[in-house]
Amino acid sequence: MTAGVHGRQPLTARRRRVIPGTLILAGLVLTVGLLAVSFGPVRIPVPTVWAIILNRFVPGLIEADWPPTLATIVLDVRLPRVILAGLVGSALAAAGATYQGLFRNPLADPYILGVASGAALGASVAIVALPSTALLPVSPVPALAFTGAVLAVAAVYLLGRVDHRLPTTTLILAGVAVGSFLSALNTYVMILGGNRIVQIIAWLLGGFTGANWFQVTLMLPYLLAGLLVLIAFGYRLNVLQLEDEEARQLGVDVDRLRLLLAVSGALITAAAVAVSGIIGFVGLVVPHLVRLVFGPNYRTLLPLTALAGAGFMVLADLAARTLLSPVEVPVGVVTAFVGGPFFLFLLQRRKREVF
Amino acid sequence: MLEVRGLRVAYGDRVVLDGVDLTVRPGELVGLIGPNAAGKSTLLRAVAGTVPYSGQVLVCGQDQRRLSRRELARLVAVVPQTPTLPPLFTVAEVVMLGRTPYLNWLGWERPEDWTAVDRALRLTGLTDLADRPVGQLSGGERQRVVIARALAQEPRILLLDEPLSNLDIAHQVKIIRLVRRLARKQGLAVVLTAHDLSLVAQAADWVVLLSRGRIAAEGTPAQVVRRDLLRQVYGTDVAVWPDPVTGRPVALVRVSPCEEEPDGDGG
Repeated sequence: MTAGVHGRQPLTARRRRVIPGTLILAGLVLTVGLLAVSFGPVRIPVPTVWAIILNRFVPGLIEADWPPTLATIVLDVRLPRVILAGLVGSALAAAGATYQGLFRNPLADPYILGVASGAALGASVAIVALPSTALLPVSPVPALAFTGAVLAVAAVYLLGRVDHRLPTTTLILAGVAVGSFLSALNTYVMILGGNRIVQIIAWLLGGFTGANWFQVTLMLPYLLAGLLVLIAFGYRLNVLQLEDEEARQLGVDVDRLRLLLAVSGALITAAAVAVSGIIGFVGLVVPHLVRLVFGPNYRTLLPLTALAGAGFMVLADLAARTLLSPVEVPVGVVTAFVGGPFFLFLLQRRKREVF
Repeated sequence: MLEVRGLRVAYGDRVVLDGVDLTVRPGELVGLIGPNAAGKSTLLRAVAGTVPYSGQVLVCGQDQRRLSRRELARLVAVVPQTPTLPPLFTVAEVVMLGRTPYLNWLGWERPEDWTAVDRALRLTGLTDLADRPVGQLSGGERQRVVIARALAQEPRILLLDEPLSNLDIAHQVKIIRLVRRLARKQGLAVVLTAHDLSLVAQAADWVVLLSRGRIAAEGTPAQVVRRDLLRQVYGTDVAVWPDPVTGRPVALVRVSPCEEEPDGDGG
């Protein structure tokens, strides 16, 4: 008789890693966030940065002996940028993990249902057709990008449905077809746009230049609602790793669950894309990194991926704005340039199945 | 426990089951035999509520169609013919999937869920493997994992579709013993399909022979596993003797050259 026969010990071995792992990860993300607020193209002494932030939350605690411009840089430039990067990173990573589970496909990313091409078309139309943003109180680009993304996913859903069922293969194929179609349209709009093509390409590359609190508040409700659904229902993604018929025999309404998860993932992706453009790689790789460390159980994978995605994106954006300062590197370049080799390194070290 | 009356299933124009009646009592093990495409798997799928049918299926006295998927999954568990086992999931994680119909909408596992998983692992002899990824297991171990997952559902009715194929004889015997013990001790109603007629005759209390969607014969193993019936349904000659120890029939397929049919396409 071994130790495990009577106790529950063997069942929890993987889970025992989860709580300390979560704490370490949360600590890392917080540290990265603090680091990101402390550094930028404008050199501000780190203690001053912290004094400014503390003073903002507890007014009068520290005497303000810094110029107001520094306070503006910290509070209205860096802080919203770091927070927005974190939100977007966590949205893309969580959506990526969801789609990988939903489609049982390790190559799935947040853009698999056509969100990116829909958003891109919306943004291009906004940039080309509504050029005089000065007349509008806020830029129309995020709103139209969001609308484009949602419409694209709706089209994919309607085209991918077969007799009230939602088979994964038709859904993926519909995603590819709608994506190509919208990309073609987008190219056409870009050509029509003449010299505004530069603006469109800048948007397509994605990033957090000019991030502000308005964008944070724009994105936050979608992210919170979507993330809540994904994390609450995420454990059922485990059941979706089985064939549909087996999942039904375990009491799961497969089609309804798939729709709920696909829509939630699409919403948070659309919200992320609307404020930051199309940032690749994070949604594909971060879920795999977390899977390598914590195992494939979606119950823990989803919250941990959301956390890790935030940290990864904040770090990537810090690199993007400081490495070649004052020139900013597009953050998508950083995520792919640094994340790619790092991911391959981990894969090589593991030498085993990862999905 | 399980009552099927006038069951009819059609995939499009093709009628797969036509007027099938079946009764399985608690503690009873029913063996379902018949040629390929006779409708064995479809019968199990209809009971599990994954194919539309006409007729009536009563599960623990209740009309199966009135039960929600969740309620049905607490009463009926299926061991599929080709189960999927996500390779990186541990044995315990896969067996915990069997608790899905009991978890609340947030999916929080309660102590009784762990107790059920523990018990299922113990019954199938998998406790020591609980933490192993299922991708690393042998065929026999994987089959036991799927049975454990079904047991974690704490069903009243257990349906096993070809649970013995792909297993060596030692594992076949282990699985059959396990299934019989579950029927006897837990009072489960068990339906099992298999191609090995002798094994079914050894294991089952009652044998149902399906042919082209209809019941060709049913009864005790000795009443159904008979040369004339099998020849008629399978179109192949089979030698049948009683096992000197158990008295149950043993069926043997002869492939000797002298019995080759003159117009046969083999050669």
